[in-house]
Amino acid sequence: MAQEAKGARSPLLKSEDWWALWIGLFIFFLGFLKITGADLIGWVVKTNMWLDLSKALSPVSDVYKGLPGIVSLILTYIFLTVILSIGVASMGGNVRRFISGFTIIFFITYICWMIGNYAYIAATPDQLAKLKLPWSLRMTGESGFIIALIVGLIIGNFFPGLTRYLQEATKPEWFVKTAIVILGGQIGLNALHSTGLTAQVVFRGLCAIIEAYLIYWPLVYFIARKYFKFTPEWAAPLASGISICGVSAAIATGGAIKARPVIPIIVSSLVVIFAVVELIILPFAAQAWLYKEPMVAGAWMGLAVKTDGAAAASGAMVDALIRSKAISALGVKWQEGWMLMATTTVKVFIDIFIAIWAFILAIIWSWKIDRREGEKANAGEIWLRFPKFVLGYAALFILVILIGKVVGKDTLKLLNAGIGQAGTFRGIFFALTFFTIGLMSNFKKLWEEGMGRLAVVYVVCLFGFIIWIGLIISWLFFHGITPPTVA
Amino acid sequence: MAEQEHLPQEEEWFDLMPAEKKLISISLGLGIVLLVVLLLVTHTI
Repeated sequence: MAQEAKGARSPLLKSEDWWALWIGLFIFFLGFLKITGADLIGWVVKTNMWLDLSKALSPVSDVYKGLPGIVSLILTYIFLTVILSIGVASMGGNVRRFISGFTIIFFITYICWMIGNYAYIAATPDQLAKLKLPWSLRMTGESGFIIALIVGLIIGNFFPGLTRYLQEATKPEWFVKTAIVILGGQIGLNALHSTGLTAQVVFRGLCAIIEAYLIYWPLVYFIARKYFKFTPEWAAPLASGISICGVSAAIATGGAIKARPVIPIIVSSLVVIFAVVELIILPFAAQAWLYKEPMVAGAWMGLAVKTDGAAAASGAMVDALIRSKAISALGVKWQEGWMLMATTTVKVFIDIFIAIWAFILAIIWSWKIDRREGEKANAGEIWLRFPKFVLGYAALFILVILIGKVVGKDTLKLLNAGIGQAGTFRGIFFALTFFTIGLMSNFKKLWEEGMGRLAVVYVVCLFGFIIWIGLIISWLFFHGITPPTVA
Repeated sequence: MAEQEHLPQEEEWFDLMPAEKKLISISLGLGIVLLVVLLLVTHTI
């Protein structure tokens, strides 16, 4: 929840919105300094898919490869505790209570994330052979987020004393906004790399996304408002969450229209759950029906599966499944990675457009839809209501592209590594978000008051038309294109 | 007991406002027009 500090601090230092921007920029900057040769955050902990628990954690950079994973985890905890505490102090919060709560939240979250990365839970079909596993639940490492959410829900609903104790550090909105700022740099890097790929796929991916945004969003919004009787405050984050790119889009839209924070958070929970359902079903559907149109299948995963991780995993699965079917059914051996590239290209553009769409909605809401009595629809009011963390996302995106264009190949490699290190923090912030979403959600109450209705809208829209419109758009822009063959 | 955040009570539902109808129709209209334009462009370049 946004907490305004008392006193005369600058507005730039007294809201979670601004502090998400500052912390996101700071972490990015530390990673960015890698281009000077300084490896300042290479010690941050990375969670690996594991069969042997001792290999579950490691520092993200090879420079620190001698560092035990557990030490890396503790360093990460100390670093986050310090920078977040500075923010809490500046916003007028209780730092002592924050630190004690955050310590518990951090370590529970991390245990959940490690469990989610256990190979028998996380490995996707394309990874089974490499890990020599006979089976797995195929949930991807993102299942760690779901586990964190479930554990958070259990604590939030059955352990009220502990929930109260953790309350000062239960700040999902702050965590996720910080993650989104850091994401800006990573997306910029992806976009930069995409320019080297086949221009045709990139251009068609862009076209597909423009279409998906303009068609998906108004349809979901209309259905939610007209037939399921949601107010605009609910319908907009729901439309963005279902139709665009899940968690980030729902949060960014919620911020843009000044919805109460819990609304996009509830939508996000549904997004993650249904993304896992899609991950389990859609790649196999694509293998059965689209093996003659591999690029359509790849783009479809990007348009239909609603979180970055689940979409990328779906793309990798489609790539492996369709290539193997093409060999047996068509006698063609396609090069690896092209279908996954179509998925990630589409996903990159989706992520880029989140900021643009949030910006457009912020303007429309403050001007037309949610004009409050006495408020003037002027530039000042739009600025006041504008979600500032979106600026951090957009700034890092543009900065990385500009820098990437002017530096040499070696520096670009360092930039890539530095942004990857900063991106590790993004994953941690996402995991913290899911755990704290669970903590602050009274599930019984949620169900009684409308969660069931939200889930019905989600199912109706996702399986009723989102998946199928995504398939049609992918078909229109990608049919007839096939990957190069291997001799 | 400190207050936990629950699902906010819904405000009373009201029918689509003219600005919302405009947003929906412009977005959909633009989507359909651009679909034709972008398809033409992708198949000619």
